Amino acid sequence: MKYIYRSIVLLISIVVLWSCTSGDSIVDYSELTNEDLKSEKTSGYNEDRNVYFGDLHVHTKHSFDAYIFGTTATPDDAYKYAKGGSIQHPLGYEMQLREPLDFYAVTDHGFLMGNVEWWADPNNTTPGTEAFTNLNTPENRTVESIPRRGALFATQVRNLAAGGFNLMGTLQYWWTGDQARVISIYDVDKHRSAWKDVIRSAQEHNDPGNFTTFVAYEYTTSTTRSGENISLFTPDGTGPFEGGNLHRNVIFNGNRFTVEPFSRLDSLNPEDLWTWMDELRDQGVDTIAIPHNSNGSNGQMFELEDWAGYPVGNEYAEFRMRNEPLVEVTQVKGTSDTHPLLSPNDEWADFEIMDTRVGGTQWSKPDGSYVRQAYLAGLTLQEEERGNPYKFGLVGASDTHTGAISDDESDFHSKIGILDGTSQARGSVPLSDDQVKLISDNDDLAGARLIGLKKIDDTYYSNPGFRQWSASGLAVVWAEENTRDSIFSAFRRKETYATSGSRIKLRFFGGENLSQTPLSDKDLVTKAYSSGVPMGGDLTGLEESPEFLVWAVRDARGAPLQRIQIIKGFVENAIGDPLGRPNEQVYDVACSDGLKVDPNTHRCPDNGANVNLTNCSISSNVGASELKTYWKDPDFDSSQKAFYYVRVLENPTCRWSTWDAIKNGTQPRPDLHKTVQERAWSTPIWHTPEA
Amino acid sequence: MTKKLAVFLCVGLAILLLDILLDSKNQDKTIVLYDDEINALIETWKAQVGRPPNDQDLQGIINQLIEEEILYREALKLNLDKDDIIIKRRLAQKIGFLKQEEKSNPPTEIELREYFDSRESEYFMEARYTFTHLYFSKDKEGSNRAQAAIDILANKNEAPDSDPFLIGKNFINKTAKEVDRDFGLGFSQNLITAEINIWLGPFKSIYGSHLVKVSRVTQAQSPNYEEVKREVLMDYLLDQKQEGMKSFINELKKNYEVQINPEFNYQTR
Repeated sequence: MKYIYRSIVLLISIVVLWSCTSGDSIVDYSELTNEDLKSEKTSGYNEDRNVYFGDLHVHTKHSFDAYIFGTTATPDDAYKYAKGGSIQHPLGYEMQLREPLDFYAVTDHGFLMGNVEWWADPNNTTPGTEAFTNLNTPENRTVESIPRRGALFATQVRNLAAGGFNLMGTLQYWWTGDQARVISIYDVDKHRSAWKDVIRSAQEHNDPGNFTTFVAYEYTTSTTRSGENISLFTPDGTGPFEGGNLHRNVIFNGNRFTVEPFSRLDSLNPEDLWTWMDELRDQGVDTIAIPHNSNGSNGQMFELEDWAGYPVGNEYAEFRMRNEPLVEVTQVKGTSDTHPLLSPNDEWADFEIMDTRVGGTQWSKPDGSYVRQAYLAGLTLQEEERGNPYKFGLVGASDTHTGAISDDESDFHSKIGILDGTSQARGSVPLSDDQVKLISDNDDLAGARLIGLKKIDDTYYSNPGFRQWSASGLAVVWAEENTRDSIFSAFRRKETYATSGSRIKLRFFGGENLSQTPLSDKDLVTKAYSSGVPMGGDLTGLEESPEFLVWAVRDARGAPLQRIQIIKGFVENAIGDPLGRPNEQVYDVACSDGLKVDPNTHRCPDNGANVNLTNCSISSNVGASELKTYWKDPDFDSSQKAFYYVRVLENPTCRWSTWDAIKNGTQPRPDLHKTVQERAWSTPIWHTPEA
Repeated sequence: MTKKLAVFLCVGLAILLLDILLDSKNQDKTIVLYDDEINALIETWKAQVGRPPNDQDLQGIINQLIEEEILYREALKLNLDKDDIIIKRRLAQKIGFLKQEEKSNPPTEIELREYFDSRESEYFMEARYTFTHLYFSKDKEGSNRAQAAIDILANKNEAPDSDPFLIGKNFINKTAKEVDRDFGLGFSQNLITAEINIWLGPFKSIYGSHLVKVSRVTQAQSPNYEEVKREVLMDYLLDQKQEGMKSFINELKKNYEVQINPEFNYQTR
């Protein structure tokens, strides 16, 4: 009898499981877009490639957390904003870009997509949704609602992710493997229709030649607090948050998309995501995944072991690079270039560092969390003949949760709506006595704990993680034309760079005899393409140092350029150390104002640029509009594996927190950086000795 | 007359009796806690603390609710809600929200068309310029070289020496804003009146000096209604909402008389 019963349940489970895997089936949405299938060239087509600025990381109301933060902006609103229109912040003020963008991708969380809006719907009578009811009706979208929202984010959703208390669902999960069933209030129809809305909106706003959209979503996975790679269920109920952040954005090319995104409910293991992407590619649907906030991964984004704990090898390297050719190096939640502890000899390493884990207040271990170190780890693995899983290109992004990127220091609205939409909440200006009381009276609440208080010289500030957040950043590509296919190809080629929000334009080439073409040659770029490789490229077996062409022009609305640097990473072959040691060196290669690099220190002299902290004005007539040079590595060793990437630095300008203080008529908060040097980072060019 | 007076007195008496019967003492001094209200508080508590309340917690929650209600009613009796700027703003805000939440009516085809006609200028397609340029870097005596170059171009038709520009030489179908983005604010002004296929300049940008030859200008033009219909509809609905709010307030304003001290005088510095 027992066996019969079990068989029936098993049979039902198989049917259920089968219906769930139909999330992989693919639907063609080409009729919704303007993309010309005959692939005629658009009028802006350029063999030497144009520069396009965009953001590949944008959340709207379909994201569970964005909705909790008060966002009601739709994907349509997000695209309208990117094209230059104005939309409303959840607190009611208008947001508009200084300059429109060339491409944009709405990337709502796959996990719970579209569900929180439904839970907040007063018509939804499902038990368990009460805490969400009417969350974003206009009268509830106030600063006073912050504790409720913080609490929903900090505890409620975590409980859901940890499995809630749904016994039937847990049993169903045991039979079917479908983790969504554990969440009793989860509605798969709302989930699919939200994803469909993301697709429809991207398809309708795609405008070849003028504006490119991508259908995309965020795969929001992480390890547990104690760092183990385990399944959804944690016995202590804290849920799999506050561990290492392993989030990625999945970007689709073409016009065919899946019925459901592959989310953390399908698997927490990123390798399972890559398998899903591999299978899609076999069916002609190309996607890439872009990891972000490695800084908040507690050392787990760039590990030397795979998910199961085995050392990575050639197969893993190919698997990862095929699916993850790019990494997001900067965004609102800090910059992941390098950390002062990892690069003690880099004077510019301390730039917009967020030292906590994503979504929590615990410290994130720098080792394994930063891009430069990952590049070095890749070279070391290669030295050990285990392949290089970390040979990725760089992009920046915002990760905004209001639909609107906020990369302008002078007009910063951060990213999580009502929670950080005011300067008091961001910790950049003093709190009123009432606000201090509100926070200290509620310090037993999870929401208030996230905000915190700090007293500096008799003045109270809120002390949330947001104070370490940043008005950053942008993804930049060199592509023949502004179409989905052309820009996606640039992602695959890694001909991309990142900026901290500034629209610096940057060319970077490497090759054997580039400097035979004078810098003033009118066909400089054409010749560099034909005799060298652009950023993202490979050079092999050179006897002499490669010649690099670096060329940057300032953002017409930003600050002038201060210097261009080349950051070299290499594996040193020390005697008695057969596998080599990773090492890095920062070279200034071009200085503003006619200054010359000191050949011993490799540094430009100070150009004297400064910032007036009472009104944020900057020195006029200091800095360069354009910097251009050829550079050879003075320490080149033909037997070493090496990478070279460019960092362009602007003159210093006010940080957003200083702008906030000035607008408020108060002093800049003493324990925050008062200025920043906006910058651009190129994807490296790698040199590998002949085997 | 006496009959009318009698009716008046009777009705008045009835109201008085009713008032005594439903004495505010009884009503004001009764606090009814409905299940829904308590359940909602429990849910909020759970969300904030992360576990269900135990008996003691629950007692606390309910006590707090009762005390809040009592203090609220006493405060009302003392008229503490009057002249409180926070309460005033909050109530004004709430009525505004109510009004804004009203569903707007989709326009008929004719209404939308009329709306579009009345403000067609807002949907103008911007002018677009196709041009080539020669760049002279300001780091290398750009303005002198540019002046020399325009003379060469005027006399002989051969290309003078210029510097490479990072994003290239030819610009196709760019709007004025896009031109300003690449050359700096105001540079597009040079193109607006430019003659076609003639070298012009030198013009200054933040990078140096430029000679420009415009080969095509697509003039600004009114759009085809069908092309922009979706955008028009979105604007229409937004407008309707704002208009609704405005006329709602204006309607209410008619019932009020505003008095301001005629002697009031504020010296702006």
